[in-house]
Amino acid sequence: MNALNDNHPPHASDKVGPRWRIFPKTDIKLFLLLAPITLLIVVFLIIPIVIMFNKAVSGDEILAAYIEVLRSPVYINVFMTTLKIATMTTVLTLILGYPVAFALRFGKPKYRAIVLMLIVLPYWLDFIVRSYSWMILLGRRGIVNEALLWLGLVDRPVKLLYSLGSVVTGMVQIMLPMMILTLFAAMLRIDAKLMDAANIHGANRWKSFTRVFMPLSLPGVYGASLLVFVTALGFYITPALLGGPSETMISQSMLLLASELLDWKTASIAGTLLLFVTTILVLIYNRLFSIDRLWGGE
Amino acid sequence: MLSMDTDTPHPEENSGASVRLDALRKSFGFVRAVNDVSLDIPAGSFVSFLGPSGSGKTTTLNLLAGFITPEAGEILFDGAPISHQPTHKRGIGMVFQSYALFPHMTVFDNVAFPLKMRSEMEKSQMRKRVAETLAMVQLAGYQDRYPRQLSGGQQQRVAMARALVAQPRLLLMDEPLGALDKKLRDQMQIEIKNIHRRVGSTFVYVTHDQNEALTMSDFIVVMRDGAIAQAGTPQELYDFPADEFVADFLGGANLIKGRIVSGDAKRQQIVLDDGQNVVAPTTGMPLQAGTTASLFLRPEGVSLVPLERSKISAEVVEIVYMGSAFRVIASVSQQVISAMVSREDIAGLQIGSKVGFNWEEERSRVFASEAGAP
Repeated sequence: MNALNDNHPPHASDKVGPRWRIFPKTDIKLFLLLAPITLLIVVFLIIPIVIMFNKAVSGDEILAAYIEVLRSPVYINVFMTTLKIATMTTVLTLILGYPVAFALRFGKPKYRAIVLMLIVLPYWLDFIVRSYSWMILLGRRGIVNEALLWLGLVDRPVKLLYSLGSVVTGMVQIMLPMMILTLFAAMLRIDAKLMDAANIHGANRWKSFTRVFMPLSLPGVYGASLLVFVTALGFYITPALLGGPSETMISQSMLLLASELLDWKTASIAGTLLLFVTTILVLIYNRLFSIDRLWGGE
Repeated sequence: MLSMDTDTPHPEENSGASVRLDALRKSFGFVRAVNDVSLDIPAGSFVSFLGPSGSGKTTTLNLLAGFITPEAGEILFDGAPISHQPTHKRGIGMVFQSYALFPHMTVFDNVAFPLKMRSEMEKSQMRKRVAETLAMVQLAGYQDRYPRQLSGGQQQRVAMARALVAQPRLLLMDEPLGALDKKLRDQMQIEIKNIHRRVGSTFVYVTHDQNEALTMSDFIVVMRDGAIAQAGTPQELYDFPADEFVADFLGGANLIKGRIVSGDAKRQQIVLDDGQNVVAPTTGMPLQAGTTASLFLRPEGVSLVPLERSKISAEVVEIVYMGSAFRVIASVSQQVISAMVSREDIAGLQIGSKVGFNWEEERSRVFASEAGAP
């Protein structure tokens, strides 16, 4: 996918940091187990980020370069588009995903396995394949347009592809499993007895949900939304394939800057700014809810 | 109909509901969890459902609560059928085993929850009622805490307060003391009994702890394999259990195996494997001669006597100091008989010596032995 949504592996690995100082014998095994992934992350993630960061903070007139980027309407536009698309994707996956996660939480276990399977199934298809599938569906003579024409709802094919709608549609489809699974994991940690307790003390199903279940699911909602949002910020292929020029997202600009215009400095600055925004969001969430809880920690 | 809209400002008007279970049945898959259970629970009484896990006691409670619906039979509150009334309209209070306190609400909001859901009570009156209820469970001043800031015992009290605040006419308790340590459990047993007397509601209490049931209940319902094994007052069940299972489940019991020799409607004779003969009163139908049977005696009803005055003789295996008494364990017919006796009784008693045991014949019973039973 992209480098930025891999923010958590280094986060996870610094948990073992303090243990190294003590270095009891039993931890050598742990160290060896963690060594390959640590090496991989350091070489292919940390070092590139440091290099990028270095490019983005050193050199002559670095401040002027930042000011130029931040004042340029082109980059501001791309930033705003990126935030807009990521926000829309997050809100839509949440609206679509919450009921599914809820149904999974309280559904019969035998159906749960099937539905989970169906949710994970798209992961077996490559990103690009899925984006191309949307091109086939949403194209000028695509299935959706043909259907609309046949039904007589439109006179001529509608422009569906290369629009904000098609980009968000594609991204929602890709991000939905992550939203559902994260919400489901969070909901599993809510004791079902609490709903019984609300119920027997006079709350009907709806009130049991609004007064008890929903408030308790909010940390999960924020966490899942954060994950989806941060991941969506760094999307590249989907907007490239399904979007038009006005849906250009920041990763696309960075690639353009780096590989075509060979302006590594501006690309690095854009990357650093994105990393900055992402880190701030994660820190705020962590401050409010402790990110470990999403994965089952307390 | 159970009218629970609890605006009634006079607690004394709040009397318990009478509950009737009429041929209630519920299966899970092929398992009959509750099998044709019929029972009358008098208004305002404290009834314990006692039994091992899987005996159907919790399923019965869940049927009363309305979390599950019976596939046959009916539940009646004060004579009115309610098994198709949704849970939230039944006007019941409940204390859960895990307490199930709302973790995102303060103690006040937890306790006020039933009032907010069930009535249009004014804010000031609600505050007063919550404060009164918290005082009753001795948690005055804890209103603004969150459940996670409380100890297990305090959480238990909050759960009690939440269940009681709307003055329900029926209160269900599902092993509410299971998570507490013994000392706190003993204390809470007395408090719960006390609260029951004060509020006058009907309490239905589920437990697998026979001591709890004996201490608190007006009536005990012993359940087994989805059916009622025996129902009655604690004393009836303890002194005169209906069968081996109830005898064994409620407190320590001597159950000594033998065979029926003869019997009529009043008395029957049982012979132990080592040839000793004992006579016990007949309850119900006399057992057929030749039937394998058990002689039932409570350890505290058995006394040590000189051999010539004894009903049976046995060899002392162990003498255990129990604090308030001594337990003498002896071997008879390759089985164990135990007696609770005082310090004076064991004077001169030695392990390996033969002693005589005696008891009041009226307090002994003979039960048909069950396959696989001890």
